[in-house]
Amino acid sequence: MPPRLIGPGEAEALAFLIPAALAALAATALPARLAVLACAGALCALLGALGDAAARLAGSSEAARLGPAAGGWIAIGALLLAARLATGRAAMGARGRAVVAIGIAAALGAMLALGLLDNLGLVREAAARGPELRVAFAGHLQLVAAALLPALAVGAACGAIAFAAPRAGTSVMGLLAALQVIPAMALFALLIEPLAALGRAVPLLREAGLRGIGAAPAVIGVFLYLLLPIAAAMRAALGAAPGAAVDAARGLGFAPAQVLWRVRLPLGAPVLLGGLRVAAVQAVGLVTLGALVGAGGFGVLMFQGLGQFAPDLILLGALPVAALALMLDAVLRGLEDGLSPTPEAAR
Amino acid sequence: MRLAALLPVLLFAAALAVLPLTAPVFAALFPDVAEPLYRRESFLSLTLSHGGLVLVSLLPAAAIGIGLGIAATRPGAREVREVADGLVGFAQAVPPVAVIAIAVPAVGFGAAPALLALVCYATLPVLRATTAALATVPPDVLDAARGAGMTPRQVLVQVELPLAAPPILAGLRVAAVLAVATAAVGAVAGATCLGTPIIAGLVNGNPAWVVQGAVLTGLMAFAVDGLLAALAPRDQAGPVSIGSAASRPHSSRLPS
Repeated sequence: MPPRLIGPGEAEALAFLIPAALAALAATALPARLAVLACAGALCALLGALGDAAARLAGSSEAARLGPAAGGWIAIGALLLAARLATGRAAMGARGRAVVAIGIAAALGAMLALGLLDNLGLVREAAARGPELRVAFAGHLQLVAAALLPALAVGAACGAIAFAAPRAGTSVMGLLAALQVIPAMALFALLIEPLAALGRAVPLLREAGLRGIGAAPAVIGVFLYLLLPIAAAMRAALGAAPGAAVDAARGLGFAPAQVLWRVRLPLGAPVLLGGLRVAAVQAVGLVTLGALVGAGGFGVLMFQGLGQFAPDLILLGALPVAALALMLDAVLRGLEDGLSPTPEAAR
Repeated sequence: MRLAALLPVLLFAAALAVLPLTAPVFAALFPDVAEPLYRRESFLSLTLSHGGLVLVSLLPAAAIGIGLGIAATRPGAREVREVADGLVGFAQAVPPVAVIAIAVPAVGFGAAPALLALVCYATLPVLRATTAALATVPPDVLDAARGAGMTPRQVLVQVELPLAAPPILAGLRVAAVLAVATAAVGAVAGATCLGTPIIAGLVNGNPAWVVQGAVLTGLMAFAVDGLLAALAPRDQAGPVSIGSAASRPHSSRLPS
């Protein structure tokens, strides 16, 4: 059943006007740090107003599904964007942004804990599907890890080959780039039959969980896509050390292995971490599509919602994916800043 | 070089011509399947519909991407650039399939959700390529153009855009390949395209249809990539150029 949408007339008018005024004030008048605070406050006020309106509209009916109308979503998006811009204006860096994000998440958590948002359809749906959500979360993380960890090893090796032997490296990187051209849906779908055949031929593998439909095609497909960003980052990382530093190390009598471990890798670490960040964010998104070929994760909820035409369920699958990707991005970006010799320049 | 880039196009055309004749082959490969060849629509009409989705979304995406990219690199437009960066950052966290799924309650099943996601995601590489390319036009050249008495509009049209054209074209190529992939995902929301046999096959337990749809989708991506490589300037045509410049939006964030 499609949800009833909360329009401007149905929440207290002030509840919508106050966040808007706060945000406008923040964008123009306030110093950047206060603007961040104002945007975050406006976001919380807007969510609270939506929860309040939902509580009054839901009234007697337990089955009513209530969600923000398009304007509400646009306002939430605009406030998030305004907060993001203000952090940029305040030159807060990756760590400052992480603090803001944690603050907003904590406020959201507090509102949920106090039951202020309980009557919104999304929250009701989440409460009703607690165990499913936990399974989806664990499944999503497992699939990401299963693709990312082997891709790190193989991709780094490919990148090292590309750096050490540029001629062979060109064809290796060309192959990895060609893989990127294949649409994910086609690659996942094409992997099903060979894996099914392999499972039929080798019963041992089938007992280990290898079937055509399931996690295997998604994990292998995502693994293949992640090779390029990791290999490219590894190649760039190994070349990131200034020639003078490498020369100096050689002059000091460093063996080639020492040059690699004590000069090239430490100096290239932020670049390599950048590749890991790109790969991790990509993995979170790609795994979602894996639900189509029978892998788990949040994609399961999303496709289930699509099948039942249940917008809340679709959002329940999609929002955690976006949050997970943004969080991974922020954490790894913070680490990168910490590793860079000049954090300000790297931001 | 250019002819070699057109090879995937020929391959795709050949596959399209041969596939309708391969019912016996698929019947032998998948003996359990009652209907070994997807016949609800012809592969040609699926391809045309898929190509239509890509074309219809690529034009607005190119216009928005290049326009926003130009606006973001004008002096005094720091805010525009930050808004663009922020939007790109959020968009990259949400996979296209999520955008398509979220759009369904708002715009209904069919081609509309796919088109929405297509425009969003095809804009990103164009925007990124345009801002990057315009930012690398040497300041000396701009000074010389201004010194010669050119108006800002003349500088943009006669100096900046011609110098920035190759990377922008490369961005368009990335956008087109991405659009082929996103259009295929549109099949989950009922868009008619080469992804339709994949979805129909998965839903009905017909692996033959899945293979047919997947092979054509993959070949179409390579064909579009090759077609745009053949159009691009010579030094942009190699397969490595997409490798480093990224063929999907996330890897364009590589710090290289």
